Amino acid sequence: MTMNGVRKFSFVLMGAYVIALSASMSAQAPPAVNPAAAAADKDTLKRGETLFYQGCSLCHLGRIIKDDKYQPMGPALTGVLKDATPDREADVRQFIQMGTLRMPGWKYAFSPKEFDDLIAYVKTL
Amino acid sequence: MSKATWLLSALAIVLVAIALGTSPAAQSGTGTILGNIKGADGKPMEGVVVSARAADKSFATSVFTDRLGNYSFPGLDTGKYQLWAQAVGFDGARAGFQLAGGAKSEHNLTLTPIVDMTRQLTGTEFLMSLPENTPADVRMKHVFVSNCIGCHTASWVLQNRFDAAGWGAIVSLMTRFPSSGKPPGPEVKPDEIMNAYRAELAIWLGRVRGAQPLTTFKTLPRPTGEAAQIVVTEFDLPRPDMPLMTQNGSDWNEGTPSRYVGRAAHDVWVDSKGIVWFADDMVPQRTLGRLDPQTGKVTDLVMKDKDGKSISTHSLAVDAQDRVWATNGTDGTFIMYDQQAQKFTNFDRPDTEPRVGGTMVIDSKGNPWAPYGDGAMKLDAATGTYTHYAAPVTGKGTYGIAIDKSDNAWYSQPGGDRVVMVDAKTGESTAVLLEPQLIPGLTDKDRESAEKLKAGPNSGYPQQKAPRRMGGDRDGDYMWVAEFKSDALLRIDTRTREIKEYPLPHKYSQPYAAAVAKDHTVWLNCINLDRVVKFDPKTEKFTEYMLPTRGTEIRHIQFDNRTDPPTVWAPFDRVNKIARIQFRTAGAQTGTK
Repeated sequence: MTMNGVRKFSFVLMGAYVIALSASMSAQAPPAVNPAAAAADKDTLKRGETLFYQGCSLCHLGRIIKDDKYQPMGPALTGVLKDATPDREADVRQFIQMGTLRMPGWKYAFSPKEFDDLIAYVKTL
Repeated sequence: MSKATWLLSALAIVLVAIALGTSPAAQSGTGTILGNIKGADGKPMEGVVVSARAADKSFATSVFTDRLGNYSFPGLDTGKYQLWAQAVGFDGARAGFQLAGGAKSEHNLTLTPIVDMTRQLTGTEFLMSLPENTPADVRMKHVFVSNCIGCHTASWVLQNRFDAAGWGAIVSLMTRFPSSGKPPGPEVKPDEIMNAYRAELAIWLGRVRGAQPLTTFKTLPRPTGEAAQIVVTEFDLPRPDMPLMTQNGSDWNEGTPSRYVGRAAHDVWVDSKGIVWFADDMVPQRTLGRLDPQTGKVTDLVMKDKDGKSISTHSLAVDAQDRVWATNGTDGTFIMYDQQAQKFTNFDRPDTEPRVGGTMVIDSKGNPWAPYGDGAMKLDAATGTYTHYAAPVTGKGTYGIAIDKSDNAWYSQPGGDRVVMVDAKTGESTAVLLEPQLIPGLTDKDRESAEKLKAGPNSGYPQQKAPRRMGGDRDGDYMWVAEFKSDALLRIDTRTREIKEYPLPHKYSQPYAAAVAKDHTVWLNCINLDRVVKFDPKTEKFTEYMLPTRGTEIRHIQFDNRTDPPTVWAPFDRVNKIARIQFRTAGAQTGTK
C-alpha cells in the first residue's frame, strides 16, 4: 500500500471508530450512579444491619435452635417501612426512640446518624 | 533502530513483564507481610493487633507489634489480602494488597486516637469504666456480675444505653429467658434471685448506662514482651443453613456483635492427629463439627434423634482411641462418634438415672463423667452402665467437672460455692467449701438472698464466688478451678484439700473455665476479657494474651499437647470462630524487618 493509501485507510478507520463510539454511547443505559454515592448506600445498609442485629434481633427475629424455629417474641418487622411516607418514617423513628412498656427506648443508644443507618436497613425488610 | 522496531521491542518488553508478574511461581508459595505501627504522634506502638485475611481463605491470622512497633507475619499463602491494625482508643488502620510468592510486603500504618471508644471496650473495660466512687457502686457491679454475665459478656449488655424503664423491660425478660435461648412461654416463672435484684439493676443501669455517655475510660494495657509474641489464627465455622454475618467482632469499632447466627462452638478438643472437634448446641444440621486446621475446612456430622432432628451437644472429649464423646443435650445421655467406623452411638440411659449434664471429662479408664443436677455421673464405656453419685448437699446446681491424678472426679456447685470430689475407689462424695467474697456495701438483703434463694452459675447474690469449670493436672497434685464471679483461680491440693486463691490480674475478667496443659501451665478463658490467661504454678504469675475478636465469649479452652509449648485452642462461642494460639520461638520473634 502507498503512503497515500495508508493515510486514506487510516482516515476511514478513524471515521469508523468515531461512528462506532457514538453508537455505543447512545446505546448505553442512563449514566451510572455516582460510584461514591453507591458505595455510601452499601455502607449505610451494612451499618444499619449491624445495629439491627445488635439491638432488634433479640425480640424481632425468630430464633433458630438446632432444627427448631421459633416465632419472634415481638412483632415481625417485614414491610414495616415499605413505601413509607416521610411522616410514617418519622413516626416509626420516634417509636423506636421512645419505646413502650415492653420495648426499651433507643434514644440514648443510637446517635442521629445511627438512626439514619438503622432506618435505611429496616426499609429493606 | 526504526520507530516501528522500537515500538515492537517496547511491546515485547511489556508482554514479558506481564507474563512474569502472573507466572505460576509468583502466584503460588508464601509471602511475608510486615511493617511498623506508629501513633499519630510518631511514636511506635507496642501490643497493637495486626490482622490479615486473604479473600479466598476462611481464616484470619493476627500478630502483635513489639516495643519498636514492628510486626511480621509468618509466611502466608499468596492472594488478595486485607490487613487491619487496631487498638482500643484508636481508629483502626487498613490496607489492601496482593501478596506474591517470595515477596516481602511492607505496610506501615498510623493509628489516630479517638475520643469516644465506647463500642471498642471489652466487658472488663466497661465494668472498669463505670463509677466506683461509693461502696454502693461497687456492690451494684457485683450484683450485675452475679446476674448478668453468665450467658453473655458484659460488653453485650453495657454497649447499650436505656432509661431505667427500658432497662427494667430488658431485665424482666432476662429473669425468664433460659440459657438455651428458647423464647420463654407464659408458663415460665422468673428466676427468683435475679428477680429479687431486678428493680435495683434497672435503676442502677439507668443511671450508669442511661442518658449520660461514658466520658472516662479505663482500658486494659496492651500486651508487651512475651504476651505480644503470639500468632492467633481464627477459623470461621460456616453454618449449613445460612451465611455467616460480616459483623463478627473483627472490627472493634462495630462493638460486640450479635450472636444471632452464633452460639457455635461451645467446647473443643484436639485429637491425636491435630484435628479439632467441637460441640454445638445451636446450629441446625450439626451434632459435632470437625475442623481441619491445615485447610480450614469444617465438616458437619449429624446424629438424628427419634424425631429426625439433629442432636444437640454442649461438651465433648476425645479418648485415647480417638473416639469423640459428647454430652447429648437432646436426650440427656452420652454419645460417641467412632472416627474409624464413622458411626455414632447413643448410650441409652434408664429413667432411674438422671439426665447427663452439660460438661464432661474422660477418666484414665476411658469412662466419661458428667455432672447432673445434683451430683455427678459416670458411664462405664465397656458395659454402657450409668452410675450417679449424689452431692452431699443438693439444690446448689452443678457445672464443670474434671479428673485428678488418682482418677477422682471433681465437680462444682456454683450456687453453693462448693467443689465436690467423688472418690474413685469408694464412690463417696465430699465437698470443699469456699468463703464468700468480701464486698463493700453488702446489705442484709444480700445475706438473706444467699441463705434463702436459689443461686446458680448465671444468677446469684453479689458475694458469691461461683466456682464454674475446672481442670485437673493428671500428672500433678492440684485441681484448678475458675471462680467465675470473684475473678480468682482456685487451687485445691487433691491430697490435703488445702486451698489457695489467686486473684486474676484484672477485676471483672470473669474466668469461665480452667484447663491444664501438658507442661502443667493452667489456662483460663474469661467471658468478659477477650483474652486468654496463662498461670505458671512455678512462678505463680499470670500472663494475659489478647485476642483479635471483640465479643469472643469463650466457654472452654484446650490444647494440642503435641507441640512444645502446647498450642492453645479456644472456641469463640458468640461469633462462630475457633482460635488457635501459637507461641513464637525466640528465633521467630519480631523486632527486625
